[in-house]
Amino acid sequence: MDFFFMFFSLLIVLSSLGVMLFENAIYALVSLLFVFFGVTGFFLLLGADFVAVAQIFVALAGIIILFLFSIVISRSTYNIRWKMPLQLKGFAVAISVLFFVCLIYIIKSIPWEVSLDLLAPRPTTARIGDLLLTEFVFPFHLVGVFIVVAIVGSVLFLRSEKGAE
Amino acid sequence: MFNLINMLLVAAFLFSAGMFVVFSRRDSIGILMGVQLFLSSSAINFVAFSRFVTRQIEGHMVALFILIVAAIQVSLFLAIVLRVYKERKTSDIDEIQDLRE
Repeated sequence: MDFFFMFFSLLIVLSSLGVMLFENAIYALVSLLFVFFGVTGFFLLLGADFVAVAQIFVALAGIIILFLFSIVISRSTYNIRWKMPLQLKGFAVAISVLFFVCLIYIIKSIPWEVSLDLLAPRPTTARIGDLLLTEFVFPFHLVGVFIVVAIVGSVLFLRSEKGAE
Repeated sequence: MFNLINMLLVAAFLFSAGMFVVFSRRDSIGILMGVQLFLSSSAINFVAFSRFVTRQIEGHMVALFILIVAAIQVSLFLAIVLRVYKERKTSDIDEIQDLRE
């Protein structure tokens, strides 16, 4: 268990360093893919089986493909330059490091009430299905409406005015 | 090694990495990658608390909704970016600064 935790946290740390530092957008996208792999591994370590598989479907297969196609489409069609310049502002470094140090201090100084009886994690899918239709029915339907709004909005927004009406 | 505090520290690193990406990248799609790092770290936090502190499953529900809303947000944001790219022929945020038509 410790080995898997070390492996996935190393994967997440190195891949987020890749997202930060790569200038080429496609390289940064592949690093983001590995970050999502690491996050899936973390979900599995924490016993969240349904959330891990949902992460694979939604983030790995959906979001990455959306990013990839938009990176490919939003280049100039005549001279395809993959290199997007990255301006390393000292401000960004200072703010991020300061924020991280504050977070480390806060996390280490709060006495978290970790529950002492850590049983083996149980399968969560049935319980999530129960909760989605009883306690979380309002967010569930709201997210459904949100998806429809996003689909209709994207199609309307990207339609060109000079097209055949 | 596998306890709550180390999980929270990795999520905090992801969050500050996302913050650095949002502040230092010049293209709109790179900024959205930083926002994805924000959302992933929040989801890890929720599921870690659900496993270690409360033994309930509401943390998993919130992580699910975070995932879904992140995907919707990505698609809408990319629609906007592609539309702006069609008009302005660039996706550099330093050049897309005014809201004129």
